[in-house]
Amino acid sequence: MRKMNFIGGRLQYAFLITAIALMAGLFLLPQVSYAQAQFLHKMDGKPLAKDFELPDLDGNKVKLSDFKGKVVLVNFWATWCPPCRAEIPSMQRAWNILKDKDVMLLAIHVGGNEDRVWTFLTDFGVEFPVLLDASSKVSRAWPMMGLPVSFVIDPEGRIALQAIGGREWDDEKMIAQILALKK
Amino acid sequence: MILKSLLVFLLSFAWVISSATGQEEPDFRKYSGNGLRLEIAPLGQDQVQAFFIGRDFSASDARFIAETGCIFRSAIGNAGKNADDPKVTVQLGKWQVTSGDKIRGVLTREKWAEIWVKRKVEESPKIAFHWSLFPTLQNYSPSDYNWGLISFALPAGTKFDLQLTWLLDGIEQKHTLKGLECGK
Repeated sequence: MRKMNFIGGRLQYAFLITAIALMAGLFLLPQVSYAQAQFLHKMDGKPLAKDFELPDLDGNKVKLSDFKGKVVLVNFWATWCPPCRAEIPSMQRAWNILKDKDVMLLAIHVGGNEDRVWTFLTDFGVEFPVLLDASSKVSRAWPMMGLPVSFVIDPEGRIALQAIGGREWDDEKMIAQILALKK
Repeated sequence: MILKSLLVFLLSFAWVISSATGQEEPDFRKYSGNGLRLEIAPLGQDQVQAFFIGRDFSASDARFIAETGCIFRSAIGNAGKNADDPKVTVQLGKWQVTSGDKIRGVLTREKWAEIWVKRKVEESPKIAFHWSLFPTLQNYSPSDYNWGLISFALPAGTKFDLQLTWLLDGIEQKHTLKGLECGK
C-alpha cells in the first residue's frame, strides 16, 4: 500500500474534500437493520470466472488469472454503499485468517475517486488488496446486479460460491465453506 | 468545487443535526411474507441532493433527482434462513405505484439511464447512479439481499400505495404497502 503524504496544499485540500464527501456518504444513507443467516450459496453451473486486469491503489495491474490454482474471494463494493461498509471490518478479520491459508481476497471498488477510497480504507484499517473498477466495465461483465456481492473462485478458476448482500465474513461456517474449496 | 463541497457539507450537517435532535425516520416500513423480506424508507430532498452531489453529480442534476425522483432507500431479499429454502425473484419492473387514480411503474435504473443521456450527465455520476439504484431484476437465494435506492417518480410529499410483485420458487406473489409518502 502506498504511504500517505499530508504535505502539500493540494493534497490537504483533496483530503478535506474527500473527508467531507465521505462524511456525507456515511451520514446520509443510514445502515439498514437487515440481518440474515451467514452462509454462501453454491453457484449454479459453476461458470468460469471472467478474467480481469485492474489497478490497485498503487497503480499496479492485478489479473485474476494470476491467482489460478488458488481459492480467491472476489468482493465488489463501494464506499457509499451502507452494507458494503458494514462488512468491511469482518472482511479484514477474515483476511487475517485466510491470508495464512493461501486464500486470496480481492476487493473491487466499483466507480471512481481513488482518494475517497484511500481515505475510507485508512479509516477502516484495511490491509487486503483493493482494486479499482473506475469505469465499472468489469462489474458489468460479471454476473452481478447490485452491491455488495461476493464470489468465491475455486482453484480451477470457476465461480463456486456466491453471496448477494453483506455478510459477516469471519463467521466460522463461511470460513469453512471457503477453505473447503482448496485442493 | 469549493462551493459544491460546502453544499454537501451543509446538507449533511443539517441532516445530522435533525437526527441528533431525536426526529425519528418517517415512514420506515418492514414487510416479511411469502419468502420476501423488505425494509423501505423515504429519503428527504436534502439527503438525496447531498448524496448525489457526493457522487459527482452537478448541483442542478442532484436537485432534479431530489425534486422528481421520490427516492426511498431499501433492503430487499430472501427471508429464508435455511440453504434449501426456495429462491425469490424480485421484479421491480412489475411493481405498481398508485397515487390518486393514476397507476405507474417504478422509475428503474434503465429508465433513469435514458434521462441521463438526455441531460448529458458525465460517466462517473452515471456509474454511481446505476449501482446506487436497486436492481430491476434479481434472484435471491436464502439469506441474500440487495441494498439500493428506489425511485417512484412522484413529487415531494405525494402519498401512494405500492404493489410489490415477486416470485417465490417461480410462483408470483403480491403484497401492497399502503399510504407511503415521498420525502420532503
